[in-house]
Amino acid sequence: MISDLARLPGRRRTISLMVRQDLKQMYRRYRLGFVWTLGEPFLLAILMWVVFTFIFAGGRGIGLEPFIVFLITGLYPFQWFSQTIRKSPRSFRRFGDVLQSSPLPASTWPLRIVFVGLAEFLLSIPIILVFIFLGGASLTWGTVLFPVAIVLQILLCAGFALVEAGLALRWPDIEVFASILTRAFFWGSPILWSQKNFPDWLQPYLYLNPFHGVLDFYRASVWPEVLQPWTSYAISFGVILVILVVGIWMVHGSGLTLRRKV
Amino acid sequence: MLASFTDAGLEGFRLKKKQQIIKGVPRMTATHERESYWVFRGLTTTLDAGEALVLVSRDPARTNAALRVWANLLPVDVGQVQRPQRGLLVSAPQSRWVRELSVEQSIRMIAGIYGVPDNAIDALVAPVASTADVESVLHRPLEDFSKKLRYQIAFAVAIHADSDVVMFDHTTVVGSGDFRKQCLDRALAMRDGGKGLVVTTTKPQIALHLGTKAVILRGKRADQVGVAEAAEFLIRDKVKGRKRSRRRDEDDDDDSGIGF
Repeated sequence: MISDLARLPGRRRTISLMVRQDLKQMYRRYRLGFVWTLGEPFLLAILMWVVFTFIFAGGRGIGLEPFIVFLITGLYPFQWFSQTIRKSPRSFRRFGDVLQSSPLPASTWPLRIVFVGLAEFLLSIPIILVFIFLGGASLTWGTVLFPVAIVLQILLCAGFALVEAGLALRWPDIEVFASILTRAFFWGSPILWSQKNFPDWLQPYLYLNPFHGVLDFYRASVWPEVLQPWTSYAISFGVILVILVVGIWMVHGSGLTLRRKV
Repeated sequence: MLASFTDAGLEGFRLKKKQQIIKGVPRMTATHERESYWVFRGLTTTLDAGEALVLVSRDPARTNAALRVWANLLPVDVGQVQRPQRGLLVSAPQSRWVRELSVEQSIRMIAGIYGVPDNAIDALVAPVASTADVESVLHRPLEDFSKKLRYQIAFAVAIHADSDVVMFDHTTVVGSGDFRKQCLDRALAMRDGGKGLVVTTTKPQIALHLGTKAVILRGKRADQVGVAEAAEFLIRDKVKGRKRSRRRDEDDDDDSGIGF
């Protein structure tokens, strides 16, 4: 199981070619092409900003201004996360023919989806920076946590991708469940709200959602005050590790029999 | 000895149409049930350096499964298997593996998918490009060319990759025209150079020209035979009308199987 995973770093250039291929394939049929990767969360953020600032006046309770920057710093990472959750259950089926004839480790195919999301997210960072400066905010010492957040999100997405891909072989209904899970994470993560909206006693439990800890690290670039005691992050990172270990076990634990089930 | 099977067997599942009795008349219905069967059983053979083993069967799924066991992609349910240290399984590269890439990137991608590690791929690009006749078009998109170029690249990767056993599955094709004519010599050179070759084919002339030994795979037994007998089996099989494999890709519609 471990030797299978240890082969992955030696295949990173092949995987990066796969990512490039997927990105080109994904956007080739649209006139604006790759712009949609950046444009979709951008337009969604504008829409939510209009709705929650002018219609529901929801940004006030959060206490973190400007609200549009708060939204943008949540929506772009969430786009990567939700894309992973939605696409991973189909990864073995989608790449079934090559999985059955290639000796690449089985986890290559779910991780391919994670790295496509990562590439899109990295390309969206300039947009986030433009919003931060246009919104009148500035970067703080918390920016050092931004790369940490990216690494943690890679682990989180990898964990979910492996769990869902492994589960889909035994329980195909996970494909339907994935869209519900995406919505659950959207409303259950601090994208539109902050932990300040909740009583103090409840706040540590919010970090059982591992994406919560990751988002705090992204947002600490602008608002270091969002950071909570380290125990909260220990909870989030503990959950990330559990998901990752379960995912690795589900995909690699069955050894060669996995390819028989695809 | 590079690889061997000792009384090996692999069980698989297939979908079978259900028979139902409707108004007293037995009918095959659209509903399916899973049925387990022996993909191959009692397979005993060895592969030494400089040998070319030809695997033939009425059902290409049986020979391909045996190859995938040697390629460490499937386990066996009974018996023993000794896998090659450095085996390379060659199957026809599908268009969606490389659709958006340049010719050079396609070489890297196909080699990567065949299991060549990144650090070995750099050294592979130039000889593969030379063998596949694509040196002058390395930076052009692969989609500008016909699918035959893809097959040429795959075959060139098989020739140059650092492996002791090269396995061609039944989907492997080798391009067309001049390139096809050179492939038999190249495959023979590989064999005579000390590599072990395993070929699953439906073409009698391939068995005769390339093979040094052969195995006929059937559901309940596997017979080690001479290449002439394997070729005769394929000719008789062709007359009977052989079972066609399930097609997965849109460009699988041509005459598949390695041929020179």
